[in-house]
Amino acid sequence: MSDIGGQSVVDGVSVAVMGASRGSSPAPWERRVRRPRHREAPWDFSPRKASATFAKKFLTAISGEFGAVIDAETVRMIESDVSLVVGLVDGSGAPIVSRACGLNVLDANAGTVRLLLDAEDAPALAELVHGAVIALTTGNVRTHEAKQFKGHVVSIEAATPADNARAAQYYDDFCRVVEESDGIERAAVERLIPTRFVACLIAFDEMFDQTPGPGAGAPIEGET
Amino acid sequence: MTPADDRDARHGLNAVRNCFHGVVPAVIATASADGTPNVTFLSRVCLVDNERVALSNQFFSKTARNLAENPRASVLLVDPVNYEQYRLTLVYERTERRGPVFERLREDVDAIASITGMQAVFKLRAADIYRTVQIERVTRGGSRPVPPPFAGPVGTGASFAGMAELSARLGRCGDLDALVSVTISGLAELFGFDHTLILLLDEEGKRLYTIASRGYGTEGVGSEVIVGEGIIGMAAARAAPMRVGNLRQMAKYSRQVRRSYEGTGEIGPGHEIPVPGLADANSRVAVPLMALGQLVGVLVVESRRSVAFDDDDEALLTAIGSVLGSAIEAERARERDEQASSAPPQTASAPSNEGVATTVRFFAVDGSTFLDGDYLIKGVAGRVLWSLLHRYETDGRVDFTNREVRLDPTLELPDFRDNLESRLTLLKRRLQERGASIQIEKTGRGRFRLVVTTALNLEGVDAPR
Repeated sequence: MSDIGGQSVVDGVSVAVMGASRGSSPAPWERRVRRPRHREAPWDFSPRKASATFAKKFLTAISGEFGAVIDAETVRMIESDVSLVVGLVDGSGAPIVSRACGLNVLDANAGTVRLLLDAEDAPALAELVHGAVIALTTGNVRTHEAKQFKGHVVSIEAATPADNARAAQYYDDFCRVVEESDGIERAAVERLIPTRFVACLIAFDEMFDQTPGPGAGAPIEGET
Repeated sequence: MTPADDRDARHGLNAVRNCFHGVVPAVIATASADGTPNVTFLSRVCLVDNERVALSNQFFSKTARNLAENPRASVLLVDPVNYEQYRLTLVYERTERRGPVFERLREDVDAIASITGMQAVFKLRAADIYRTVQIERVTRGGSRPVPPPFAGPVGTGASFAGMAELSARLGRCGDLDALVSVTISGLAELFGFDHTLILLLDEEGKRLYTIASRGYGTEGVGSEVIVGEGIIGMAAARAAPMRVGNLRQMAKYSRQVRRSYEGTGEIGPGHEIPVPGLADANSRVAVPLMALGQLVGVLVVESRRSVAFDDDDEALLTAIGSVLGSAIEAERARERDEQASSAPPQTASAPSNEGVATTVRFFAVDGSTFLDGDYLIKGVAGRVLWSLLHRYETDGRVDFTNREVRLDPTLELPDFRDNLESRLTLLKRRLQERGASIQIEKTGRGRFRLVVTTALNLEGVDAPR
């Protein structure tokens, strides 16, 4: 990473990845509840407000009181060949975008999923800690229909052989639909596929319609 | 930092300019003041300069609210040539509602809207300008082979020799038919443009009709585009080149947005605007044919590949469009001058045709003409054919001049810019394409012959006789 135009650069992040020697430092996913860090924010970023909102969401989520109920049709959709992208926020309040590599819904009634992420994406991984607020958007490659889920990270784990198999299956399906729909060959899409993964357990408590159009961003009622 | 990271950073956004064609949808993440992220797909990110990008603001309600609180964004882009992926760290700078960046973005939005005919509701509200503070390469699969890059644009770019050769060929053309034929074949032979259409503007300036094409299953002569609709119609309406390299993505996005608007009741059910050309085209360049500052028609080049055409191709085609437009207009002017002093036509008797008759059915209301139940043509060209066949049947005439056709009051041709030669060329090509028993042959400048090889059964619906 580097900077351009003499502008400031987001702090570099050094993180351990799966299989790498970590020494005595804990891996990012072993850290506990994220505390927003107020490094530099000339705009209206409020760590106090962020902490309060986060704490409210986290406490309600872990109590199981307001977990999102993911209906069967949505489960089928998000476990299929959709494009998966995630948004995280670093300690200064800066957003970070990354791609996800497949998921399994663990408990549709509690809104919990096991999401696979790129183990080499250090900036994103650095913020992927217990309690971190996370957004996931799923996009239908054929139609651009999209849904956004917001919740918090419950835990981060090393990818298991089952996770690796799930990621492989996801990319098989994803590459096929991209080739059919957009004419982009698998060899090209493979350039975007990570070689190592981490598994992230997430509890979602909000759902939004993210399909492009005048209704984009509207909460999906009755499911939260 | 990898060498690639360093290269990209030092060269700024110009080093990743391929990412801005929109072939692979971009992704943007923002965050509210309380630290809640929001992530969504983008149809297009527009390159402003080496440090800045612009994002169109139509539906970004949450994104816009977040930026008001926390003016930072993170965007993922994919280069459609080598599939390198980049993450840009952006800081919001300003919003523009006029000016060149806004116009460029509006052109993109209008092009998407025009695919499904929703220009009335799907409009650019504002262009948000962001400064890039970091470019990070996040390509994975490092051990996987890099896919072979495109072989470059299908045309040979700024080929001055090719341009000179095509200009010389056009200079030897004696009529409109030859002009469009030579252009189409020259674009393929000299530059490698394999899928090409030439459309001319109608007399009322409201529609374009295809007069020649190459590289399609059927020639599609006579297919029409309304000025202002689709990429081709927009190039005509703006008298400016239009170039897209992600037609499939645009069409998918446009269809989905239209469905969303239909769901809210803002617009009624509609349909995708049918466009002559490749059904699965991914790249299209449409350049206006201009003469004396006036629109004559549109030249279209297509490819199934993404981002198949570059700036050089667009410039080359624009130059060819000007040469062709001027040549067409000069040919029309010359024809009008010559016909003012032309001699009356020699007449020949119609041969007696036997066997199965061809039924020609003509609808006066719009000039629609059918041969043995199959649609042939409509409008001015249909009325011209009906008039010729009527004279053939009643007087035995087979030889005609453009001048006498032009003076036929039943055709209702405008006094100025009647485009008769274009309509005759269109009719001739449609009859050829159909392999019809009626053909038109040029017999000299401003003269032609009707060749009929079967008996005719003329059926006019409210038609003049």
